[in-house]
Amino acid sequence: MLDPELVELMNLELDGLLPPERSAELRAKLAANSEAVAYFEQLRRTMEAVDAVPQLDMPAGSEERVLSSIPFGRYAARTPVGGLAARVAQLINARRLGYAGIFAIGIVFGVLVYSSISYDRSRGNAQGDNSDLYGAMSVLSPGGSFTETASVSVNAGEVHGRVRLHESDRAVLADVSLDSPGAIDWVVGYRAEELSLDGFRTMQGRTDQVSASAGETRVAQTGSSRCLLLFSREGPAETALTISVYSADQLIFQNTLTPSAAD
Amino acid sequence: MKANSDAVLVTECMAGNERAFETLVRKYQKPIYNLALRVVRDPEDAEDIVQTVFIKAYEKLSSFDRSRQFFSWIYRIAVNESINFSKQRKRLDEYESGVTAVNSLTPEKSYHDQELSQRIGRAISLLKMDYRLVLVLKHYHDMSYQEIGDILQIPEKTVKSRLFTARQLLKEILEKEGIREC
Repeated sequence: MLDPELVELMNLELDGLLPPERSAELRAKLAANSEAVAYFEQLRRTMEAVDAVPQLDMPAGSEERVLSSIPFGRYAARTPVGGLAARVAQLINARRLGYAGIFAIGIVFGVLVYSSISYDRSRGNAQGDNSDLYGAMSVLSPGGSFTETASVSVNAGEVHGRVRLHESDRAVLADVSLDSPGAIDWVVGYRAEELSLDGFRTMQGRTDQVSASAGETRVAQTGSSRCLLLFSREGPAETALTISVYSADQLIFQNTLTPSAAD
Repeated sequence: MKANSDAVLVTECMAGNERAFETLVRKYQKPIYNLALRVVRDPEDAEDIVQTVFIKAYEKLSSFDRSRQFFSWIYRIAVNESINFSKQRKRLDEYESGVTAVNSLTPEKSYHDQELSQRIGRAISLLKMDYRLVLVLKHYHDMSYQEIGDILQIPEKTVKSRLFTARQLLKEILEKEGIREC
């Protein structure tokens, strides 16, 4: 019967978790114990055999079946038209309809989505030029390595919400979520020599990007909304964004977010 | 790193972007399928589990704590579904048939890779669920002791204890079945 502590050392060694001094300790113990050497070798072979078993691919068509089974439409849609499309999709079980049905739904859904985008463009929303914000995020950060680096709560009178910064090596994503009973404007300011605005998307509610210039973008909103603003970095620099909220042209909140400013 | 990109996807999904959730499905369906497969040992059952996991994940997304790791959260759902599925199918019966299956293997075939994989899979299925899960999460999902502890909601010390015992038991099963050459 081997000492349980020795067995633990063997396991940790095979997991690559033993520091050098403890690894040396294990080797010294093994050198004096042939039974332990045999056990260690069997354990190593067992782990190699287990690790050699490959991951299996899912059966063909599985992804489509999984996606068609998800009751999409539960969460807020981007636009009223999009919401209707999502509810239609939720009501229809594509798995039962077969490929002909799926194709027909795709045509209808495509028309609805096109209508939705046109609707946003007609309101002056910048989404039209940056409709695939998520794709842009993927391009700017191929590994998807966005990290939340700062956030601030907004509590000013009847306006409440939160602003979060997510950063990668090449991009910064500002997530602005504000609830307001009336009309407000908010402005995101930044150093134009460090950042350039690549995308703006209204994820929830109604907003209009009323102006955008180097170093500043102004948004008007009524009610509750959530917006994402994607910036690409112009060079290595410490990110700082200033969020200013105005009600009836009066500044009611202002804060500068830097990576160390999480609350 | 992957956790933060997942958090962005969850945020987008909660805001109504269904494509974000589709990205999560594509990212995690294969590891979850393999996790379920190692637990229930039936490809069709594993596929059903994957489907259930993503439906539940989508429906419960609002309860996901975004300060935590998404993969731990969805793996936890997958583990629970796999365990529930095993119970429903009365896997004790499979346990018995699994013993028979392993015992009936001939040593001559043990060199064949595919056969070896199947034998190891069957050997893993002979382990008690507690041991099986830590072994699968460690060896097939490359998780740390801490991550396994988060998913199974057990202390790291217990993870190590179960893992080392699982390896010992698996070693004994494989030796008994003549798979020393692996």
